Amino acid sequence: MRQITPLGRQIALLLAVLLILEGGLYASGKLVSRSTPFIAPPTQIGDWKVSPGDPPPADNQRDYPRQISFEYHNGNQDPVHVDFAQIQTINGLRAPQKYIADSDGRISPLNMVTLKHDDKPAFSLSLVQGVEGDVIVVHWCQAPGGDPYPMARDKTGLALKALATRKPIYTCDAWIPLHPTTVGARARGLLQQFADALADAIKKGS
Amino acid sequence: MTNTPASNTASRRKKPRAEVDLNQLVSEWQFAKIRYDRLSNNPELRLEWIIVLGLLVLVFAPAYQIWYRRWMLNGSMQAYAVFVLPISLIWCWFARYKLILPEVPPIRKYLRYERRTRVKEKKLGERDKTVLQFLITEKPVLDPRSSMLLILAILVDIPAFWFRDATLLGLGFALTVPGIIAYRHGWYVIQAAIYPLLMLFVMIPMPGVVQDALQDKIQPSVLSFAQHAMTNQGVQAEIPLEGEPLKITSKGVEYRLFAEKAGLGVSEIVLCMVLLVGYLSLVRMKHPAPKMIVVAGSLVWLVVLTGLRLVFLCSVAASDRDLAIFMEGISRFFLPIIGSVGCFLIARGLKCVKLHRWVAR
Repeated sequence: MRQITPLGRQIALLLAVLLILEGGLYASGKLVSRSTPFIAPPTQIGDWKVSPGDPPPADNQRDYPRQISFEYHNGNQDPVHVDFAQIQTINGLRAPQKYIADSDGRISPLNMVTLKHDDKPAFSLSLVQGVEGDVIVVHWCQAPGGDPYPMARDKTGLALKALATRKPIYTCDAWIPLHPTTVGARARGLLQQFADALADAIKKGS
Repeated sequence: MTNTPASNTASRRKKPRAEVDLNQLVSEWQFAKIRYDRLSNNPELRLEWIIVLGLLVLVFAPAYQIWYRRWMLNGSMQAYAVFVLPISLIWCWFARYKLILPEVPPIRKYLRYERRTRVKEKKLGERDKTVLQFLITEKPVLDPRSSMLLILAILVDIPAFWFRDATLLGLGFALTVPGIIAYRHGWYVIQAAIYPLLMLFVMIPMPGVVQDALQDKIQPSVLSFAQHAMTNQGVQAEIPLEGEPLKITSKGVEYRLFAEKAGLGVSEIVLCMVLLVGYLSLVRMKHPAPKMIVVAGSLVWLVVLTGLRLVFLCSVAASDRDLAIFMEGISRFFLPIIGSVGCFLIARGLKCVKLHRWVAR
């Protein structure tokens, strides 16, 4: 029988161990992630009722994270889209303009404000301009049981710790498409209402 | 602690060719060819290669899928990375004699040192020993092996497998391959294969946040270059406060040039540079200065070409918007081809064309 050199055997053994380790770590990572169930969205926010929805259009820009997406409907009004995504890779820290409209999304510095929740800066409200259309989005990050904060990069250490321990931190987005008839103040009020209700739901852990 | 197995030992091939008289050889690269034939006909070594390469592919195939997805994202600056592995493998094929005989530079260095520090005068008619004579007559050169790089690679691989992050996995791969080579074959092979090994680092996917930050720096200057060029031509061109798109208005029709949709050309520039550096590493020059000038000149040429492409798109848009939209993709395809031809002409102009004697053709 043909034999390979002792050095070759050592390298082959090392690679085999790496292969087993890779499979084991991948499986255990999946198990740890799945053991923490996703926050269920509130069934109703004001007059708005929940139904399943689609993830943001350019979700590949943040490596297709584990997420839930839903929509809130209220009569003939445009639905409010909501997405909770777990930060699983460094790409999960990307700003919303990179995935919410398309990869060419952009925000003018004049079209971005920070909204408060319990008198603390909590949400970032912005007008994202894409190639095909524009959306108004409220974006924040939050761990179950924790307080919301506007951007993942505001607390990078916390996000990296969550990545290492696989504890969930969600990047949350609630957005509505922008039409020529959209009234800015009304949209802002609506999204603030949604952000407050959703942040409270995440804090309570239900 | 020696070179590749059976480097100077008898052949084990099944069908032995006619024995070559080593004294008839005139160049060390002929010796490399003989060693290459001998090693490539060694069944044990072939089996080892198959097993190690197979396992390496198995370990990193899931990661490659993640990298591929990241490289091919819309607006990615690293689309060139898809070509890096094939280019590196082609380079290894051309440089196979250099890789199979990695001890030539240290032997040459040793002989030069011996010549300089000679105490006794040479006898009449006595000639200095050549690298070829050294290879034929002396014992195989000891090649320092090291496990340090492999240990470092494992230390990166383990967290990378846990995080499953493209960047960490890429770094793990870029360290594992040279780690295995340094452990199995030694540092001389690492030195000989420095180009493909460095290319492994070039293909590591950048984290999205880093790419966004880079793009925020590059995009305004590229778009404003095109804007100024168009304004000088008397065409209305403006960039909004948010940085893009570049809006060209002509005859009441608006064309919007989006950086990621049309492509800034960064990926194409890097692809041309990868090809150019690979080519130059195969070129024989006494002094490195012309090669450096070729690299610098090519970089300038590629940057200008990228800018000109955007100006061309905007100029076309001023007369035909739909044609400009069609040309976005086509011009992006031709950019690396025209860029590489230009780089090759610059190299030719500076007489960087004569390949090393070890380049196998």
